[in-house]
Amino acid sequence: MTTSENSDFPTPSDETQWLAFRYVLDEMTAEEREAFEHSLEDNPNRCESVAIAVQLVQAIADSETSEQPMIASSDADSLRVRLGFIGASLLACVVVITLWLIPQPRRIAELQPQYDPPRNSADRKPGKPDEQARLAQVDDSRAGQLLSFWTRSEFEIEPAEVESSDEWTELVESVDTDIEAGHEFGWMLAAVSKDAKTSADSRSPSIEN
Amino acid sequence: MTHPPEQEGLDAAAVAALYSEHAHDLESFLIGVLKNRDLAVEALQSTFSKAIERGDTVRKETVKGWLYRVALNEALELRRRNNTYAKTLQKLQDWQSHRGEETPDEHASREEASHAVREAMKLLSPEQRSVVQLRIYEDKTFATIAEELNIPLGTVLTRMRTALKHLAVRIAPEHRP
Repeated sequence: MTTSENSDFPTPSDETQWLAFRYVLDEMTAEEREAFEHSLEDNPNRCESVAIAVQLVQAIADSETSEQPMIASSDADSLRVRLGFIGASLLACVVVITLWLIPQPRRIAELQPQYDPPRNSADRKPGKPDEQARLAQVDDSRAGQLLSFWTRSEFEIEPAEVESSDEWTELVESVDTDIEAGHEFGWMLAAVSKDAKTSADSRSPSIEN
Repeated sequence: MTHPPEQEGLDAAAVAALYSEHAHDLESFLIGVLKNRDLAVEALQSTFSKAIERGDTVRKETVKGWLYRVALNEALELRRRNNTYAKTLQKLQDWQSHRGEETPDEHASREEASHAVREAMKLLSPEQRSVVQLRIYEDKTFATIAEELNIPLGTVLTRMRTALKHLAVRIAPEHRP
């Protein structure tokens, strides 16, 4: 027992403080704890030593928990930097690929699946008349040429592509010549006429019915 | 001298002064007894309710002792009622997650104490620091620490006691043993 206790609230003695720590840290036997609590009833100095012990344990625990966020924060910063670097790298890759693709529309056009019209009569609609098939075959080459041109011109954004412009001029001129000759669209007129006749024939019975 | 019933007890200003001066230490004391902050707060409120009712009968020079005595009785009564006496330090450290009502001053004070302890920990010997860390941070008993470090229990207790003494001086010089 200490002599410094109970004399007008002196500071807790070393021994009292140690007992208080053991009490707070739950390092007492049941008997010791009971005796200690009993001594608290008429000993405010011991009560105060308990308060000090709690504050010290709390401060020690805080000193650990307040260090952890600093570590976590530094980890988070490092992760943020790494993610930023990866993001910037990806963005740079996208930009490079985009710049590589835009000035080369012809390459893209070459990569497009070419127009490949069905050649066999089996690929056509069943029941299609031979005459219509023949007319369609006549136009296959022209349609393929037009489609191929259209596909290419879809990507010709750059005005510097003089070659495409020349192709377009040639094609327009050839079409104009055909129109003037009056025989280019004969197949179309024939097809429309034939189709109209066929439709009329196939509808007739149903009208009668 | 007798007072009419409505004038009994301490007035609001006197209670506020008492609270300002003693509430923090009383709450720490109650946490030490109850090992539970919520119960400690409840016991603290009961203590000051008693102070409002009967505080005027207490002499000023003995009011601190009176408050501790009332607080202890309230804590023991609360513990009996709730039948909750935590066995581990974990419950004691539950305060960490209950600091919503902390005032800026209390927060600053706590941060200051925490910083002081961190600095003081650096001044401890590695052996003392190890014991403190194992006991407080990892919540190991002194017996377990002695076993893990393969040293006598008395040595562990001595290291802890010496370390706590140094740390206590750093965070509360006025409470120097």
